[in-house]
Amino acid sequence: MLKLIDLRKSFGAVKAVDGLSLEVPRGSVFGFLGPNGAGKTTTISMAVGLLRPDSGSVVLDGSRNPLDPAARSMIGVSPQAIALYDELTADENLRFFAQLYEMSRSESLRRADEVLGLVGLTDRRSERVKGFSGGMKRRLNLAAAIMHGPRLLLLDEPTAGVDPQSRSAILEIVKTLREQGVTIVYTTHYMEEAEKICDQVAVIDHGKLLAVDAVEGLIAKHGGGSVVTFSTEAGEQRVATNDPVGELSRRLTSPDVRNVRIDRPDLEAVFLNLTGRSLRD
Amino acid sequence: MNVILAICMKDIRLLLRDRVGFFFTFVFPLLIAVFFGSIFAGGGGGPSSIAVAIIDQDQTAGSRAFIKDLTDGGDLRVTPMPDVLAAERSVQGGEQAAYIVVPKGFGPARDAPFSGTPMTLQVVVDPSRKAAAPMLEGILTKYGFMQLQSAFSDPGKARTMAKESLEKIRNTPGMDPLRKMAFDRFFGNLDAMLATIPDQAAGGAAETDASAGKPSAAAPRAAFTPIKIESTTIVKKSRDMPPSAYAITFPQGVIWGVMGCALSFAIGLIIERSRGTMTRLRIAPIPAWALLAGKGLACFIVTVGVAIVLIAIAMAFFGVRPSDPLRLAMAIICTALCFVGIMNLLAALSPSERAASGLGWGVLLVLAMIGGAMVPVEFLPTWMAPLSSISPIRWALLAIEAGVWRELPMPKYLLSCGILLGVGAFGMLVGIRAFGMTESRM
Ligand SMILES: Nc1ncnc2c1ncn2[C@@H]1O[C@H](COP(=O)(O)OP(=O)(O)O)[C@@H](O)[C@H]1O
Ligand SMILES: [Mg+2]
Repeated sequence: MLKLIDLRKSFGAVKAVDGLSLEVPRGSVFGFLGPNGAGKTTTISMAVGLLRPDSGSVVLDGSRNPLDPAARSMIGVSPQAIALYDELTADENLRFFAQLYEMSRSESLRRADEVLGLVGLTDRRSERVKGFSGGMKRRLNLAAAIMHGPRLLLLDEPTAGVDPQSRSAILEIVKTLREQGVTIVYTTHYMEEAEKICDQVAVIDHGKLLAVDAVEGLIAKHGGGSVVTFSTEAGEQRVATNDPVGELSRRLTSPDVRNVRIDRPDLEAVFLNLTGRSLRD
Repeated sequence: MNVILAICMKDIRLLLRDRVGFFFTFVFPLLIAVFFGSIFAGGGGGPSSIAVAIIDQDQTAGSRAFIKDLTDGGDLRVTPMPDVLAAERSVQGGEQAAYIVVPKGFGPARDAPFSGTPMTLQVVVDPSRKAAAPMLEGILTKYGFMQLQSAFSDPGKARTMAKESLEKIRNTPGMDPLRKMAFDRFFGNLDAMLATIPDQAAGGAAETDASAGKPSAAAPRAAFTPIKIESTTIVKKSRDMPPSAYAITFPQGVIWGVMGCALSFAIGLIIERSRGTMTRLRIAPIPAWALLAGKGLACFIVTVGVAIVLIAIAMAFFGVRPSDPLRLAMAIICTALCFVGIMNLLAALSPSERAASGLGWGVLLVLAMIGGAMVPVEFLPTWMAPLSSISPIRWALLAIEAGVWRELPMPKYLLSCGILLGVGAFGMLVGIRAFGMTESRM
């Protein structure tokens, strides 16, 4: 659905994107995981034709170029910064964006109902956006991206700065959209989100692709061993191992053990192993 | 087309919901027009110095001396012009309030003040400045007396001159006996006059002219004026009332509204850039020009709307009667297009909202000031007047005034409109180019 071929983009001396190639399969939720400044937003900007790559190319839907306006009508984008008109109501915002895609009045009315229902803002539709909470704005920001029914949806940090409730609501919306057959690129620096909803995750740092695979595959390949923690009278004992079950059966024979915890490696561990740094820095 | 309209409607809606923007586009201009109109309508502050053109058809030492006095005196801002045609154009164009012709024979009359042929000046006043005419005559009379003063400054010469004049007068057949008598008396008191003339007579005469007051000066003046002023207005057919102050301040108000509008939309464009809604517009399958066209259309519609509202208020409540509605309509359209361009230019040149409002108001205020939107160009300081042509606001005002009251020759009107359209086109081109070149990023 979206193919990036050796994309490069520099801002002065900063190589924001440095030879990135990947392919987003149709119908999947594809995660871009990387810390702030990794180059995720820059990559997305090139993918939708907002930025011209210094070199490399972007192919949409098999053969189309995002610099061609017609090709862009299949894309929806929810930018990292809230991109809404504060002085317009939720409804007016959505219907305005729909008009940019030549949707008719009745069509946009019907679609606004649908989309507002999906993001749970139906009863706030006639209020101006400036009175909305951060979470509501986020949801509307997403709603605006799907008004015209795009087949490829790019969400740039869709949960930045929202409360936990809105966050899980947004994740649910993403799942619903995937069920509707939308291909989704999901950019985040929260590994929990990537683990929860992404079919595949691309780990990005310093503009480079470090690894790409399903979450399980990434962890298996780069996660390292599990950590088994035994609590005894004398204190805690941590054992790193690739065979936590074997380790358990061996140690549980000892009567001292009062408690046991197994920590599976996660994407955080994957990132740590790939870069030597923590994702949260 | 639908997209352009959608963007346009959205922008108008945003402007109407933005109280500050609304204030500066609708309310502030109205306040300006009414406030300054009422100040000037009260007749409180007359112009401190009137701009006039002068044509020396006499070209004698005497005429040159008179013009020098007039120029150095500081009561008028005098611009010499080669011929009547040029002077007439400058008055019609509004650069000068009037022009003065120093006709042939002025020099000789000046040298023989009592020969019976007084110095003559022809004064041609802009009909819209009829109010300035009495003041101008007063000032010229004062300088007429000053010419006498210089003739009298050499007493010996004055005596002989007086005698010669007296002879001439006595030998003039058919002269009004009352006048002859007055001259006798006048020359009888010549010595006394010589003592008083140097300062008071000159000043006193000018005042007398305006307020018909002082008895000491009234006596000789009843019979004798050293200078004859033939005053006409420039367009003979014109029997218009001089326009009220509101006819001047409402066009100025329109300009303020237009500026507020251009600035609001420029800032709106920048806000779209900084808030990221521009990202959505750019991602949508519409070309950049359509996007700018939508914005431009909104700016155009609001600008024209502001102008119509202000003019309607001027007509309904302040007795302003546009003399040429067609010209007025054309002028407003050209002005609006010009400011759509300026809006684009401002948005293209400003990196941030704050820069836009700072830079915007800075630049626009200067242009407004030299363009006559605060003080009419005619009353600007001399050094500033030539600068006014570089301000599109000056041309906008001229064109609008041509529709409201000013008798502007067609070529000059078309020139004004052309300049406005040119500036507009330039701004739009720069805006489109700048917009196309900037890469935006989410
Ligand atoms: N317009 C720009 N000018 C200069 N540097 C930029 C610009 N945009 C991004 N960068 C730099 O490029 C790098 C990648 O940024 P970005 O793509 O925003 O990362 P992410 O979205 O992953 O946080 C960062 O180092 C950032 O500072
Ligand atoms: Mg980012």
